[in-house]
Amino acid sequence: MKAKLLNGTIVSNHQKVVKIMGEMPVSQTIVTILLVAPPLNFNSRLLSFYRNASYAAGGFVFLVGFLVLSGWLFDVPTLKSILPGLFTMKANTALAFMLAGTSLWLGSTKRESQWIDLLAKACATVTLLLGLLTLSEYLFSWNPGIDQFLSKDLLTPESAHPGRMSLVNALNFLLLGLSLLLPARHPYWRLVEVFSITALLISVLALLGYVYGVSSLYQFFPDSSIAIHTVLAFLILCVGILFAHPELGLMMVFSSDNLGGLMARRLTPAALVIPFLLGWLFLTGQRMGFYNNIVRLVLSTMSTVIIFASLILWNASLLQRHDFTKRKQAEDEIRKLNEDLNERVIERTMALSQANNLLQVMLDYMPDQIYFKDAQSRFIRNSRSQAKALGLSDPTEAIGKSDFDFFPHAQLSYEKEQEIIKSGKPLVDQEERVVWPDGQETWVLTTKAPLRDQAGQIIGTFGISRDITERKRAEAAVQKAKLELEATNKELEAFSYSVSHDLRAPLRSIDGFSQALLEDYADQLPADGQDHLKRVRATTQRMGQLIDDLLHLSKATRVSMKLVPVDLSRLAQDIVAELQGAQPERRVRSMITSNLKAHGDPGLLQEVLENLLNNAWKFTSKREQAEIEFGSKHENDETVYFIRDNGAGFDMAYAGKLFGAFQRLHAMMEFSGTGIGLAIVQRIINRHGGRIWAEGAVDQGATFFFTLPALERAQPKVVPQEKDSLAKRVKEII
Amino acid sequence: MTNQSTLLFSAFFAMTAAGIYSYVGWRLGKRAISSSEARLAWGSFIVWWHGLAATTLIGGVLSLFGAFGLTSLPLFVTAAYLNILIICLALWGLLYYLIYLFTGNRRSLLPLAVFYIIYYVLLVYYITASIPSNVNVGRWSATLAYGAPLTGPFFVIILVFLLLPQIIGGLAYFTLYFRISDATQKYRVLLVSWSIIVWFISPLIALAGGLEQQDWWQLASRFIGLAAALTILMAYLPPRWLKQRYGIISLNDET
Repeated sequence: MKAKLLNGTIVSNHQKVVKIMGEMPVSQTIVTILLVAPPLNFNSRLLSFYRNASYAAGGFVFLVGFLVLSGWLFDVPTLKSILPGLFTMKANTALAFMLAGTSLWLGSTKRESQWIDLLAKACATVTLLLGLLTLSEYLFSWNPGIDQFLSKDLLTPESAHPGRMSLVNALNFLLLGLSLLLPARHPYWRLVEVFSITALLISVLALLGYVYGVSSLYQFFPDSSIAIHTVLAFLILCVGILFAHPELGLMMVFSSDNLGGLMARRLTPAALVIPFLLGWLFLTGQRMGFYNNIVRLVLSTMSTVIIFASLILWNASLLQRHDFTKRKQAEDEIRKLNEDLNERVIERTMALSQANNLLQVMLDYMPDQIYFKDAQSRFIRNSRSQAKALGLSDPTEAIGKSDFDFFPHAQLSYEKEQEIIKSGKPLVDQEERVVWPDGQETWVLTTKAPLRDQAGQIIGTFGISRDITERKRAEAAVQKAKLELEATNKELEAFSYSVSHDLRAPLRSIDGFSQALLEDYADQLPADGQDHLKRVRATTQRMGQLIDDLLHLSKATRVSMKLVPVDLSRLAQDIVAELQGAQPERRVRSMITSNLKAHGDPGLLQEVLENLLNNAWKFTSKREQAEIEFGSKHENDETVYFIRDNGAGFDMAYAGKLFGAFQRLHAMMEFSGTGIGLAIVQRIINRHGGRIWAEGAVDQGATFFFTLPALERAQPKVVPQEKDSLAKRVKEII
Repeated sequence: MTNQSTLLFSAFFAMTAAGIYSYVGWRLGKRAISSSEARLAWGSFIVWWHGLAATTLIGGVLSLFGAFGLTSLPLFVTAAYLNILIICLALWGLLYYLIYLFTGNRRSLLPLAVFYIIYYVLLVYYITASIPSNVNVGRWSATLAYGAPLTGPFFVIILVFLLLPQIIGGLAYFTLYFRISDATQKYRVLLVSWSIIVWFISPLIALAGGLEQQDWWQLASRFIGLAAALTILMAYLPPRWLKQRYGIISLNDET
């Protein structure tokens, strides 16, 4: 007998009960104990054995049918009748066996597929139709032409319906076809059993006929006999059908682990086989003239009585032992269950008490406001902080009240909570402005979620609110500062634009008129005067350059960026080639690692490389054999690019000043430049989210390192789905 | 050697090979596969091995019959029909395994089944239409002799359907070698794919070169089959020295 628990679980043994109880609340455990009746234990090994046997029976019957049909098609007498002189299995019978075997085999497969099921039913239907049509042939004496459809039967005389399966076979196929066609569930399974057992009994009768030599049992009519291999195939098919669902009907008894199952498995084979064998044995003795009919009857009865009495006694003693052991086991189990239950009750009570204490501590000391409300949005529990904010001295004072008792704007909050109860969806991190009963106005960050009981039903809401008033103020201040900063930046931009244009005009005038003076009045100016004018011109040109660089620096931080893949190696090669072209006399050994790729703005990255490589070129100008290297390395999960030279280098003490605007570590006379290039480089790298730094030593060269994490950000690593699934398949089945 | 001794040798060899194939199938069948899809594909691979064992065994038994003069035509025809049924089942299993492994598509099971049912019908037609007339007891095997053997395009189609899908499948399987990095997987792919390719390509070569009736080829082809099976066994159960040297994992060591 099975017991169904509250959660729908079928309990099949005490161990399972204990296991399931461990996952249930105490109250449910008690109900479970009350509901659990002596369970029906299926023996899983037996279930598996019966199902496998059914599967094999289907295959075997198919094979028998296949071989016999082959015998008919290729005229192999042995396959048709096993031994010469015995009755043949007809081609139609063989086909019906193939179909029934296939249906049973497909029906026993573990795979659930609509197509397989359909095919199994189709095979069963054709089996049934074959039986039905043949029966109709006998009943209505007509011939639809199915008897010799597959093969010509030359062994049977025309008067005896050549090729036609016997009446008994037709009946059996009708019954078994129906058995295979009916759904394997209550109440149809009773019918399946009736049909299969009827066919089984008919086949057993025919088998007895063969064994006892009583031809009337297998040759029911003069023209309608059943072949020996047909009988065996029917027996196996019937048993296979019954075995296909050992958890249903009569087979339940044979599959159970209970005493009934044990008895059934022990006695049924004996009850089936022993009388059969004894009957055959004594009949043979009588036929050989050892004794007459009366003696045979006495011997048979005596032997049956003795054997069955012994069997019954043996089983009774076994049951007695089993019963005693089981009772003791059951008592032990009940005692253990009681002990377990008590322990669990104590454990659960302690756990609940502890959980309650923890919750209370949290509610008392958490600065965030926590509340629990029922389905009508009335408080059922609050944190101390919320009670204080509501103007209450103790959280219990809020119980039974709602927001309407405290807030003028409670309707909106009520509607939100009712929506949560209705939809079951939480509201997470909602910013709300709250006006408290004392008139104070604050901002809170609130999360509200449905409150559920143990069965999962929504019984209210709970929420947590955090005061974010300070944060909101800070955000407002930041926003204000940002707006001010933007305004200032715009003013600065306008200023730098104006500076560049307004300063350029006078500079051009000074330079132009100085040049005019030098050209038109050179003969009237003394050498000192000419030299002074030349100095004026050089200074104005340098100032012009400084203004250009200043504008350039400003542009580097403002120009919009378009991030695309950039081939840095290619850019560096072009720049170095250009530098070499401008100074072909210089001996520079450039080492540029190929295939260095980055993701960034191509124009700005070109400027970075131009500045860094120009510097390297410039500061190695005094080397006999200059060396410039552009490469990359992998450090701390990021790609670090570097440009290294063996030039003048710098003192690391001044490394901090390298990237400042107009900062120079070398004299103008020694190496030309405005000191703006590295400042531009730093701003471009920063705009790409990267970093730049340098290492060097005086007269030992310098190395500039930079990173461009824009690549990683722009191209997140995506593992292709196909490759991933291939890897999974390969791992599993290679 | 007389025909009887070569046939006995052939029968013994076939039965040994059948035992090995069956062992391979049994051994592979013990592997625990977690996902149901992969389990189906792995099961179909095992069907191939058992099918191969069964068809080799039938061949061996027929050789044995031939050696002892049991040459009933109906018996041999029945055996031929049974044999081609098993071959179709085995090929269905192998091809499904290869297709699933390569594409991950499990819906190919039914189309493949339909394909091999049609192929079985074609084979039955081939045998029937060729009119089996006698049992030819050769030096290495006892086979059916046909009254009017079908040749031409039909025979080529039958042959192509028999060998080509497996050769293509084997080659596709081999390409996985370049798509994976794990040493054990690479090792298995290499051994299994080339065993299958060599196995199926060798009869084609023999047919093209007219070697089928040569004694040495008869011996060699049997050894190729056996070597292929042993190679596949070694792919999953590598010898100790390979495990130690290349860190290859045996099926027994898999968790």
